Amino acid sequence: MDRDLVERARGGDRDAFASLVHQVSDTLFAVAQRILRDRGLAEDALQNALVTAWRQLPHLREPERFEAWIHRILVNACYAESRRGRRWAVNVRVLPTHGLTSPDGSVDLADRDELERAFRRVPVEQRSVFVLHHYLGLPLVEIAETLGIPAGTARSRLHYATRALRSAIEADAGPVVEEGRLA
Amino acid sequence: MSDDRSFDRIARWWLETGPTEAPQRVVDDALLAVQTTSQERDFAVPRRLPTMNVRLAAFAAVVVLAVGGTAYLLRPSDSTVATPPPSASPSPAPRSAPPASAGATAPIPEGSYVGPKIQAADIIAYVNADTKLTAKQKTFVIDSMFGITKARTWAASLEFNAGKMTQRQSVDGEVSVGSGGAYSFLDSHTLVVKEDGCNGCYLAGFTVSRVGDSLTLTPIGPPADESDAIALKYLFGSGPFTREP
Repeated sequence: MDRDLVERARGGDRDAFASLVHQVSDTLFAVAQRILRDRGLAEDALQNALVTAWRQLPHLREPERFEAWIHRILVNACYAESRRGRRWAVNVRVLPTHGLTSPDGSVDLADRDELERAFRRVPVEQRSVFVLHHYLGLPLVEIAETLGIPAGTARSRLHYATRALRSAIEADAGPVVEEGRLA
Repeated sequence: MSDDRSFDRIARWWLETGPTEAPQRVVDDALLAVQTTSQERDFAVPRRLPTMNVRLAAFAAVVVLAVGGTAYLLRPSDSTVATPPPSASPSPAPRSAPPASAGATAPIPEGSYVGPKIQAADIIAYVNADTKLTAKQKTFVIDSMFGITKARTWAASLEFNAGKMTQRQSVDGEVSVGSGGAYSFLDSHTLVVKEDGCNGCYLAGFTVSRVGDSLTLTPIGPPADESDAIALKYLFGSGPFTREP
């Protein structure tokens, strides 16, 4: 991340901030989409996160921490959207996926649905750690720093999310919770 | 699927499917909103007191109460520091109804309290003359904390309303909102503010001196660093805040 851009944006330069946004928005959106499992909510989370980041940018003391800082803002925006989304969670449906199998062929379409269902049941705080770890590849210590939580909390959140997903696949069980109550 | 590596591989594969590009419309809307959104300037001193945690605030309150109690017993009859309740104040009535926790916020009538207008050049000169700050820190204080690089005047104001204290600064008349939070009084002299949206919810404490419509806040505890000391000097030490009619 260009430190000069961050410092200029922090000083109120909107063009510099726009350049930063173009550098990070794809990753932010991808993370939001994977945490929230809903495109509309992810779009709202991204937009809110970007505006919040602009407003709070002067508080950022270490420009080199910009990415971690904006990831925390995004995750907080996801928490807010997740709470908001519960009101119409009844309308959320699991979208079918076509012809996708895992690299080793051990997970098929039905398993994907189970993963999706199980993940939606996991609290959003646990989902966030899972996505940051498995999608962005961040180590737990860095996730803890990014989210401002103890490392042990990050570890336990990852553990519970992992356990939920593992059992969803391994148990090969039917639906546990009705779809309308999953999000 | 039976071991951790297998599960990690499947999890990554599963997460990798899905959109990876932000919709341009969403980015454009956000940047449009930014055009009309002011930044929060980091002159919000309450977050600059990370050591002022609840335990310390409680300790400070005990000390203040002990000293205040003694002073009260020994006080001359015409003390100007002790603050009368709003109903006894000659100042205008509060602009809004008192909050539900009126007892906790009673020592200050609600409203906006405006500090003196200061020449930006004076602040810049003061910062540049500070030998404890590096050049980078000076730039940060001037550009980001005060936002006065090309400005002429700077002023701070405090709003007390419905149990919340909000800090604002005005640079050449353009007002931006700083941080704030729920406030309450431990006693008639000691104001504590629990800041909104902070990491760890810092608590800031101030001793309060009020004379009529003028208010002076003195932070309890030392500043976290030199840049905080400068922010404290101008935000709270620049002169009494006067309540707007």
